[in-house]
Amino acid sequence: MARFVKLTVSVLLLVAVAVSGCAPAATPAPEPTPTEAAPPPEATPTTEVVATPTPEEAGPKEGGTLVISLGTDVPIFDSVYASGIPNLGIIHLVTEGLTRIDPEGGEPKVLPVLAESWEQSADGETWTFKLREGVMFHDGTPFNAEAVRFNIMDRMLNPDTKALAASAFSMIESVEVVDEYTVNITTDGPFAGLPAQLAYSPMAMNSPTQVQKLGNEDYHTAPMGTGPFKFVHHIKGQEVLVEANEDYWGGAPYLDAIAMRPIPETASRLMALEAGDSHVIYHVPPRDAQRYIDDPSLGIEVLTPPQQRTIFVGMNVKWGPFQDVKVRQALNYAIDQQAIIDSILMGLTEPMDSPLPPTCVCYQSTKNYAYDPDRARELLAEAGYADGFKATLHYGAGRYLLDSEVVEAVQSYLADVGVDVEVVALEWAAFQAAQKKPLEETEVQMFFVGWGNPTVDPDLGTYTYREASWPPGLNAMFYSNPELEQLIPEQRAATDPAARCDIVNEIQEIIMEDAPQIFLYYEPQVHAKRSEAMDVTISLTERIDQMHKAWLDTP
Amino acid sequence: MGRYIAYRLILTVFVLLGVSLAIFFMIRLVPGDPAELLADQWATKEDIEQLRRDMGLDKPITVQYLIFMDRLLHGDLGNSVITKVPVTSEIAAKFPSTLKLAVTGTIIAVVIGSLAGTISAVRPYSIFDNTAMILALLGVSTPAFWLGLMFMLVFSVHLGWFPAMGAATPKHLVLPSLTLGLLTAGVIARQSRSSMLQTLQEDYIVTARSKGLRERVVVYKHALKNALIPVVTIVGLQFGHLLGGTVLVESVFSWPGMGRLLVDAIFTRDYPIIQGAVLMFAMAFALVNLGVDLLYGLLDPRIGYE
Repeated sequence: MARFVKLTVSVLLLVAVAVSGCAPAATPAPEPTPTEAAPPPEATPTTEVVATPTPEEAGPKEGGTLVISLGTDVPIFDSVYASGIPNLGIIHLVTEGLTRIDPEGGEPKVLPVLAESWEQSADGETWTFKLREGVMFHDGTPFNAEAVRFNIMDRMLNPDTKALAASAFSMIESVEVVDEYTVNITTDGPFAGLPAQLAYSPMAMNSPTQVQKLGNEDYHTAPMGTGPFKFVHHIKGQEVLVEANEDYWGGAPYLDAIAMRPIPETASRLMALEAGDSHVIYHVPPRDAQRYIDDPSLGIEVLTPPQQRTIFVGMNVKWGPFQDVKVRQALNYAIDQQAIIDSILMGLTEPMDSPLPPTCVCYQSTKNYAYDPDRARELLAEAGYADGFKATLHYGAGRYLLDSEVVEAVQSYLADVGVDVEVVALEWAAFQAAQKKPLEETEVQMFFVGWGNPTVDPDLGTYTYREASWPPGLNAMFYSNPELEQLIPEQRAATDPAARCDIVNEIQEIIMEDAPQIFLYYEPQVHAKRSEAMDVTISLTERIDQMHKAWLDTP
Repeated sequence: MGRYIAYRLILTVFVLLGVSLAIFFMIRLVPGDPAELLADQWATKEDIEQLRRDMGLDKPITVQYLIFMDRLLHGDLGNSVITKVPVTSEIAAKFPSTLKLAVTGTIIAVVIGSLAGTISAVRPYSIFDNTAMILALLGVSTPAFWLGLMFMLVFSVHLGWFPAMGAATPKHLVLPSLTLGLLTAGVIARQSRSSMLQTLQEDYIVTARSKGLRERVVVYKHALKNALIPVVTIVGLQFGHLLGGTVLVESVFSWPGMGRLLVDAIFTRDYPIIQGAVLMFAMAFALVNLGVDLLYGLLDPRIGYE
């Protein structure tokens, strides 16, 4: 028997040795790379000179496959049917839109992509777009005004397509082909924010030839766009692979290819980054971001693009104590926004001082309810609630960064001024269902949620404060104000940007004063990349952008 | 035997019918509407209503079920509400990955578990036995999630021996299947040990020894087959747990299998995928248990099926 045991153990040991022998050479441990490499030159149509002896002196290096990991997989490689802005960012590597949004010089701006310039007519109802000339889709079809008309009218707005985001573009009435590179887009009523709206990710230019060849349903199997990368494959749940488009109008990419491999588990995603399996990952918890910042030897850089999502606790203004504006303002004074930001979010963002995010056009820092629990109690007493009251707070756990921790903090601040909050944590889908019930059926008194502004145009951000947006719309505060009902459509119709911002400023002031929400902060965007991934930018709209300028600094 | 198999298969069909009924109604009773979840910020009430119509959700629930059953009998599980891809092709793409993981995990569990259990039984209360049983207990108590992340931390991040995610190469299979396998190995080890201990006390073992047969022959030729019978049953039952475990392990290792498909579908309330995936899991479980019962009959000639 003893002999037998020895034999078995030896066999197991042999197997172990054999297996470890098959293990790959250790992936290179992250080395400290110089953080300030020479800034790469602007993308030029010709290839860059590369061969230099030391990394610090070289310009962008050619070659390599950059690996990005998001938490979700691209549901379907067709912007008309896909959801999730970061996913749409991956799709935009292949199919581009007419415009994009980015802070240039600190100011959020609508920048040209396939449209070079635009102009609004005097009556505000028609925008004329001049398109970029000499651009081809990956299948050789020329990009021109007819392609734009096809993508907007025959695809996005065509009811047969059943595009998910069709309603975001429902203000477009017609697209007229003026000449090969000029289109007139007419809207239903003057619409100031059209160029920004066209930057909204579901809108992308697809090759009409390819769409007609494959049909809407199958187009995603072989999409043809104008982007810096060409579609190779999309293995569901595993990998999206795109390869460089050498003929890209903005200059050939330095990278050979980009692979997107989804990793839903946050801890796994962080490990993939640290192990070197992924070069760029999305959504890093602030504490881990702090770890990367504190220890440069890990070779990981934290990316914090500007925020565009407002985070707040909405109050059902038709229910109980929340009907009184003094109560709502009191609860705003009761919360120490800065303390929450500093201790839970590692100081990575700012307090919410406007219904619009700072990246939004016409944003102004309107009103900050500084932490003042005495004033809170005073106001509550004036409103007749000196003894406080009870309320429930619903939220969809796990949806927003550190939401459970923030909700706990809010609960304790409110308890401090006598408001006893019962927190109801629901799964996101269940929370959505609860939030969308109309006034007669709703049980929601307070709710914690975030509102995104993907176009960073005040149109969407202000429209939600109208009665028309009551549930099943987003306005689960059931808030409305007769002045706003008038002003909000006015800002949409304004043709002069300065005049528009005046109106938007007034709107911001009214909302902050009426305080239908407990204004908290702007959701920080925290992502990370390995230092050898150079010139990788994630835009404020959570999209990975300008990837033809990215390169890998690996020896 | 053939009649028995046919009988069991018919029973399986009834089981699946029951499962389909249960899951169909249960997911529709849970709050959360796929149309609302899919719609974006600009969607109006009419847009959402249209989406629900496209998904077939505007009809009364019993009508929906009848439509579902009608399609099912034609082999059509419907289309994903998110990707619009037929459910059957989504499952066909993902099921082999989960199968690979589950089978490898089961093999690891059975090999390590029964080996450890047998050796422990042959050397009861020795250091090997005590260590093995403590490890088995750890295996049973450890969450799959945690073990997977720990393996990843040690073997991928710090040692760099194995990749942290995905399923591209055989190397990618090692950590996830080890995670699954080691957890189930614990149960199998304990069961093998007690079963072997019992078997070794049987009269025919004493006879075999007194015949002068070497101990190794006694254990592996005579005792093992009979000791394995209860173990085989356990493996069958554990397979259900293992399938559940794939959901967690697949999430941790970004393994593109049905477990992850199901989890993602639940969050987006993708009813057709949820229904299809649950039916697949139920069928797999039923078939594995059928296989286990038949294996039973092969191992123990006293058991016969008509």
